[in-house]
Amino acid sequence: MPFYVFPNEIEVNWGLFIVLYPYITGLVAGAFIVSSLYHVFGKSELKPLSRLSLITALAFLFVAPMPLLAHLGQLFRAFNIMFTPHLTSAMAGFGFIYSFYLILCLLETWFIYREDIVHYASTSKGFTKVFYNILSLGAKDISPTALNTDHKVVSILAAIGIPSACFLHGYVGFIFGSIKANPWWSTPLMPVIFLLSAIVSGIALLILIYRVSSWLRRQEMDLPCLMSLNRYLWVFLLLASVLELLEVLHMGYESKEEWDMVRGLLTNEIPVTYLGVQMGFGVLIPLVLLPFGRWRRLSAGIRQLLTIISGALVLIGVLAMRFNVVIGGQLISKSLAGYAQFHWRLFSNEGIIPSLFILSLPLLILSAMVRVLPPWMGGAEGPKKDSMVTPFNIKLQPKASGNK
Amino acid sequence: MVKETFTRRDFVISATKVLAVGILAPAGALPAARRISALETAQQTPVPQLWRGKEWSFLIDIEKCIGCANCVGACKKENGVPLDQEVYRTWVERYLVDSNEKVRVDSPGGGLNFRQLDIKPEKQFFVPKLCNQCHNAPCIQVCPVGATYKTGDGVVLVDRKRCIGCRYCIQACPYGARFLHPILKVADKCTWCYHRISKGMLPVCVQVCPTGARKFGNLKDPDSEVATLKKKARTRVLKPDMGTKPNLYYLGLDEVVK
Amino acid sequence: MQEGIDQKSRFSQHAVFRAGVTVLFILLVFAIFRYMSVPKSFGQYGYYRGDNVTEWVSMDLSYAPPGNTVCSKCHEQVAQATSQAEHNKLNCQSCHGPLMAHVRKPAESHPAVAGNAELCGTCHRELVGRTKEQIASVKVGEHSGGLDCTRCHDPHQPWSKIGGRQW
Repeated sequence: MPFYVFPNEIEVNWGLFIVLYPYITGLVAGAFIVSSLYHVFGKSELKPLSRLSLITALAFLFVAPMPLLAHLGQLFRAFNIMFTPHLTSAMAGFGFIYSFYLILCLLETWFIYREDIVHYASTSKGFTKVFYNILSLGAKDISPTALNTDHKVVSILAAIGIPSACFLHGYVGFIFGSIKANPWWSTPLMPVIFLLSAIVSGIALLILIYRVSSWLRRQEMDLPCLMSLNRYLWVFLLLASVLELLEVLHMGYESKEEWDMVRGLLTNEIPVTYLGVQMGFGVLIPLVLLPFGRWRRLSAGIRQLLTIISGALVLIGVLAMRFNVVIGGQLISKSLAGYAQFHWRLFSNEGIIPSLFILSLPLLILSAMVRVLPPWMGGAEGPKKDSMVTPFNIKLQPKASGNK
Repeated sequence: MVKETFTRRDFVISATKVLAVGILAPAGALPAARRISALETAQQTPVPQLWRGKEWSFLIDIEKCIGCANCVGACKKENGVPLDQEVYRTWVERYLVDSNEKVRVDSPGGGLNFRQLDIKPEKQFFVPKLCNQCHNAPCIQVCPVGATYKTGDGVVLVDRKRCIGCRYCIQACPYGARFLHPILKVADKCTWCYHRISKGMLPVCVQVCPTGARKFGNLKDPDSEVATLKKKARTRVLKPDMGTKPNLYYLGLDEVVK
Repeated sequence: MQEGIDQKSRFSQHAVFRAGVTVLFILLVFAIFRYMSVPKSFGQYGYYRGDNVTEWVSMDLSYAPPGNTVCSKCHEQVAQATSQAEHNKLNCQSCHGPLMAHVRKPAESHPAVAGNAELCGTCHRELVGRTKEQIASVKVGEHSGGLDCTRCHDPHQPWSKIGGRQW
């Protein structure tokens, strides 16, 4: 095989930040869908996570555009994408789909938390009171009729949210899948694969966040809830991996001109991240471990452990999948005669350290959000108004005589 | 020859005349003043008129290319592309096919740094590459902000004031013709020297090509060399299966060229 | 007193109303910003900023206009000599480089050209890829022994110094 890449391809144009973008967006979509499983489909076993999953989605949603913005050559023109959106471009959808989805998530969160917000506003003092008052937007009515309306609005928003989440992530897949110049990207399966792996990664993320938050709060995890996540994770992981394999199988069977390049990519250029991390650690091992996690003969502790390990593996596997798509695709030279080199950088622009920083941002935001809007649900009863359980020793207990 | 006693003003005037004459040489004996003003008006032709009766087209005769890469260097100097960076609006590829049909391709420094090799290929040729100015350009399709577009006379341009530098167009181009300008941080690519061709000149790569391998002209002018060759010679485009409908044609293009 | 819990609230205090107004406000702000930011000529000829075409047209030249007519206005003898020899199809700037600055201010900008093997060799050195049928090419080191090409060849009339064409 001769080795030649076009002179302009020596620099890999989309780096680690563009790997993070579909990854983070996927986590948003996945986490949101878990919350919708409770709010729309009434999966009551997921109630402990109904709020946590929503604000997790929100925290990651805040960060989703950051790697994109940091990647732009002209940051200050970013809003051109909404001022003059070119409708034949998949990417032009980003501004609107993202904004729509952000507003939707914010609204849903607000309606779900409104009762709590009003409550906090009336029981706190000073700056905190002002803050919660602003957050309530002046809608202080928490009569049963009003709350009933809230509840209906939440159901409607959550129902709109599901197709929006699918759209948000499906279109990210389309951004790659519609590039005919790139044989590793160009497939109509791409949006579906991205969406399924998004759901997979979102569920896996919630498993881990649930574990960590329970540990920090010194609370027991709710086993039925975890088992439910386990089941969903397994099903969606199976679907996602079948489609991923189908794509490669199809390319190999057709073995058109570009197959040699794709095969070379998978076996020579990115075998560690593709065969090892994405397919081995990210798919095969969890597919085996997850059913054991549901096996009733094992002790609860081991079942939790298996589920959590699988979640962590899946989370890493999906990140590797994003890497293999975004970077892998760019390694194939359009000359179909060689592979570009990807250079790992530590600090500079799209290096590993800035990437890890962006990845950790949503978690920081989340840990701040759970202090402001505690999502914890005591079992199946919901939050108890008189003894608001908050983590990290933030006291928000109502004082009966605190109001003037 | 130039006299030493010329003032600077004289130089400017004579230079402008020289410039005008150069451009309008085919127009023949116009009075000097009118020649100069003709250059000015050529620069100021309002846009729809500028496009009237024009469809630019590019044709490359592979047989004639000797791989000197004069075009590559001149293009960079004319268009402000950093000379020392691996970005090219045009570049020259060298194809060496041995008796086992093994193809060896290279383009070191875009063709500026070809080295002598100790091999004797069966088939050897150079292929200059540049933007194909596709009729159905994927780069225009994917640009999210409408910063890249096709002019009425068939050239794809990038609006440097609106490009956000997302590099989606670079991914979408099947020919590797686009890059991120290292200094301006916007997408850049060959414009067929739009600033020259709109003033009646040739793209600089065509102008400096010593062998006439690069040909440029107006397809709507039936007497132009490109139109004539396009009509009678057997031409090919790159990657026709991509459906991009390139506007850059090759004479004598081998099938190994992608 | 727990505000709003016991008394019946007005419509303007309803949650849906408050949320709706907030969203509308955001949309309004966006609309204003969009109106202010889109350039006037955007969409004039297509989905792009029309003024950009003129910006490209008026870009500055580095290479002077074509036709050795420009150069021959001043450098008449050289142009005349070149036009009768092998290099007559070449543009002056193929070897001399970009000369627009020189055309504009001849006294201030005198681009020098090194008549060495590096310059001539771009076309005339032996190189895998180019054939003898295409171009007269030599192994530069063997051919001149390191001397500048101009010692024997005048680039404007390559064979004039050594008595005509020798091969």
